[in-house]
Amino acid sequence: MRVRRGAGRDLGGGVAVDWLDAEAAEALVSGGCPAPPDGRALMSAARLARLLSAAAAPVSGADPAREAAAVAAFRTSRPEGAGAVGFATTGPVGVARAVPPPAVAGGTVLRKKRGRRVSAAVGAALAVAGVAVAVAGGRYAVGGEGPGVRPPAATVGAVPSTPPTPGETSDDSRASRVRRSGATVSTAPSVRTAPPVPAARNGHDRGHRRSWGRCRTAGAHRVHCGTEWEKGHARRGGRGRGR
Amino acid sequence: MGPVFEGVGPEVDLETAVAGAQRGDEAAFRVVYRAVQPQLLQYVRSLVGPVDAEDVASEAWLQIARDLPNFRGAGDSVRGWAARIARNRALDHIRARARRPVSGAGVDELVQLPDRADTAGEALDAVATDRALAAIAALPREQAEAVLLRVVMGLDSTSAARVLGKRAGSVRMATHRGLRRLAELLEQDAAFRDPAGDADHVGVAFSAAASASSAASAPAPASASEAV
Repeated sequence: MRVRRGAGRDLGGGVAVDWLDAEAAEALVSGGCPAPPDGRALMSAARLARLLSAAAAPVSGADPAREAAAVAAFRTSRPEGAGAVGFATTGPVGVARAVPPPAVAGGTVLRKKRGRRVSAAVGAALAVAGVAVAVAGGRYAVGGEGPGVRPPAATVGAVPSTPPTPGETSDDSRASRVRRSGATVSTAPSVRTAPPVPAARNGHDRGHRRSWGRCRTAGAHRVHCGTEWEKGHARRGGRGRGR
Repeated sequence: MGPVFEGVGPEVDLETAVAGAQRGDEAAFRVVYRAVQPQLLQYVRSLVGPVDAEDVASEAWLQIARDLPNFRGAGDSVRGWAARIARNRALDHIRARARRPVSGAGVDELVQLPDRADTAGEALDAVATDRALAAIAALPREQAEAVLLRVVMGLDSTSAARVLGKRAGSVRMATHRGLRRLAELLEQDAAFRDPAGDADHVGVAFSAAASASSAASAPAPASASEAV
């Protein structure tokens, strides 16, 4: 569907977006830079690129408690003996394996290995860790990650009003012990200070990038567009990337 | 832009991380999580709205963690696989929500200033993001889903088509139509404003689009009836 109808001018009160043919659309969603012929279309393209960039900007800040829950689920579900890989074998792996996924999603407890004595304790520890980090983080404590986003139900429900010492939770210490030998990944609290950014988009686009050039990483690229097209508005386009 | 993850360069080798996680390597799983979660959460947010997004994304991650050993795919396809899981969980959630009385998860909620903002600039940006998502979500469902998967999840048309159970060509067409619609809305909006006013371009530009739908927080999949 390649629609190129004239110069795309419609000054009779209508809207001129004829510059946006199939190729330009592909370029935009791939982070490329369509280069419409005239200035008006250029402005239009820049506006749309900015909208897409804003939509693609991930909510800033990661929730360590959520990550801990996912990792706990991973730990629980991996096959016995799988822990023999890498550094995960050191330290308290036996305990770690017994960790059930903490309660998530409004109190739904999803656990596969009930009945282990340690599980409740460790689950509670995870929850405490979540609250601790939340309290330490401040922003998580007051409003989650976005408008109306509530803090994780599990952490709130499990630990009513005991703000533990930030940074010294059992989860942190346990995690760092598990990772002691050659850990390459930051511990949970550092996620807050350096929120993950989807850098893998770069790799993802290998192979199907079009002739528009290599500028996928949406925010970064679209900032580039912005600076070229409308200097001064650039920051709007690439919120929070790489901060 | 510096390294994104400690000890991991910007070019995260997702394939290696997935392989490691499939062998039971917890650190590798964390790499996968951190590489995929931001976009996945954003995607879920666009489907179910900001209030429930984290819970739904967490549900998705439980399934991802459980099923990852059985995942077979090369390269970056774990993203599409995760998106499919998250979409299914989101649709489940929307169906469940439809069965109980909903207290306005609409555009008002979307454009509220978030508490998390550290600075006014961040607050504006967050609003811009929410409004952008609302504008996209207000498109006809097929277009919205295509644009969201491609823009928010960063999938190519083939991966997006796989998630949606459609052909890549129809996803490309839906994307194109959706973008044209968005561009039209932006142009309409700009016609009433002074573009040189240096206002929050992203923020203001979506008023037309966002107001086009009164239930912009989860419009596209809210009408979802297909089982996936």
